[in-house]
Amino acid sequence: MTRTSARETFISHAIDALREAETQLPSDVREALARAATAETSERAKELLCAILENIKLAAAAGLPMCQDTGIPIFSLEIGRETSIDFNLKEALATAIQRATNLIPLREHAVDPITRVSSDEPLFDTLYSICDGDELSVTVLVKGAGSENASALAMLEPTQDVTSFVLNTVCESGGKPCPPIIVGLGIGSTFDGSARLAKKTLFRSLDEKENAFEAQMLEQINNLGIGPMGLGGRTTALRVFVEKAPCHTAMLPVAVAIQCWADRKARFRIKL
Amino acid sequence: MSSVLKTPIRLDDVRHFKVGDVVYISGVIYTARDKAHAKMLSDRQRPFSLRNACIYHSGPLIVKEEHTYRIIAAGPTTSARMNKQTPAIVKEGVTAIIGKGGMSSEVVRYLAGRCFYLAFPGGCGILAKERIEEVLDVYYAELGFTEAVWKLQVRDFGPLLVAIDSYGESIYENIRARSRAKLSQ
Repeated sequence: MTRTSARETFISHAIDALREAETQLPSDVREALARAATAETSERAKELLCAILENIKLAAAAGLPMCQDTGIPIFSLEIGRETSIDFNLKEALATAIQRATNLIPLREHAVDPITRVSSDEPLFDTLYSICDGDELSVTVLVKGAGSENASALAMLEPTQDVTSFVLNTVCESGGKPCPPIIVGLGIGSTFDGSARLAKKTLFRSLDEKENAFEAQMLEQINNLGIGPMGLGGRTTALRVFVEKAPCHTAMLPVAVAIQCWADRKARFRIKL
Repeated sequence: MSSVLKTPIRLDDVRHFKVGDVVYISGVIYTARDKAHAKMLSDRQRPFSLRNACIYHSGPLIVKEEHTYRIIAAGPTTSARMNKQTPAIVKEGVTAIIGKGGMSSEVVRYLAGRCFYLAFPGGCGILAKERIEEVLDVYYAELGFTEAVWKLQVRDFGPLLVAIDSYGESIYENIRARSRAKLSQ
């Protein structure tokens, strides 16, 4: 492969993945929403979940973004040890987003954080990890601002209760992050390390078996009765993911990454 | 109770509804989010009237075509970001606000006797766009397409749940009070 073609192949895969994420909700999320719609006992919650499912269907059929907030694309790149990448990954992702903005289309909502004036720089984030093999595996997660704004981080004291912080965060965010939400918890590590752990959990599949702590946390969140869109019901969260890492004996960082029901994800892999 | 309201919406219409009712709106609505609120309040020559108007908290995904604008998706945005500016906007005569996620208790109190708040399912950009017939005009386009005010012709826009009524009642506040009580148990 020549230099240009590897880059071009990567860009075209990235655009396809963005389109897929924006227009088709992954089956694990769709099925979790459908199960919740059946299980809900609140009539209003049921109706809201049915509206969401109908919206998902219409978007997929039309090939159009399901939500006007086409979000912040977060790319998780797993780079095989034996790959040889002869182009600038970040530049290629920026180009993919620029092209996708016209093609899909995506909403232009990037601004300078100080002046608040529209920014031409593409808005996205990247997480890198090294793995075995000769492939580059990329997952894109599309994150809306409503749910990102509801996310929180606390440097708790070691004796403070993690569960209370999480439940308070979810309770006070109410309907703002577009529940039913997916909650990613990063416990331990450092200030930024906990946030990265929390964010990384959101790349996991909802079908993955949950551990006892995750199940208990989900139960407690759903007992709050916030419900779809904060208008009451059993379905406040579809899933809780927890990732932990050791921390200093004097610390207890906890990050709560919240994702909206539009848990938009897509992946691709290429040999390089 | 469920019914179709035609714009302009008078306070007498608003008073007919209480939290839990479902309404649909036909007529003209104006999108407005963060920057548009600031602009509407500072603009002495505001090119449209807010008297009996319906404000939609939304930053639609819209593309410009040769002679027209095409709406791709147009669901609601988080209303709470507009908490601070809402009393001043309602003072101008706004009688209906459409959004998602609810508004602060200060806003709930201010809306009493003046305006109601209607919830459209969040994230449902395609459902919303299907009820929009036409883009009638765009104001403050210099703020960018997301933040501009779009004057939209809508038909049976909804279902809209009366989530904060003009009697000081808010479904969100009732739900939150119950959640908080459970937490403090």
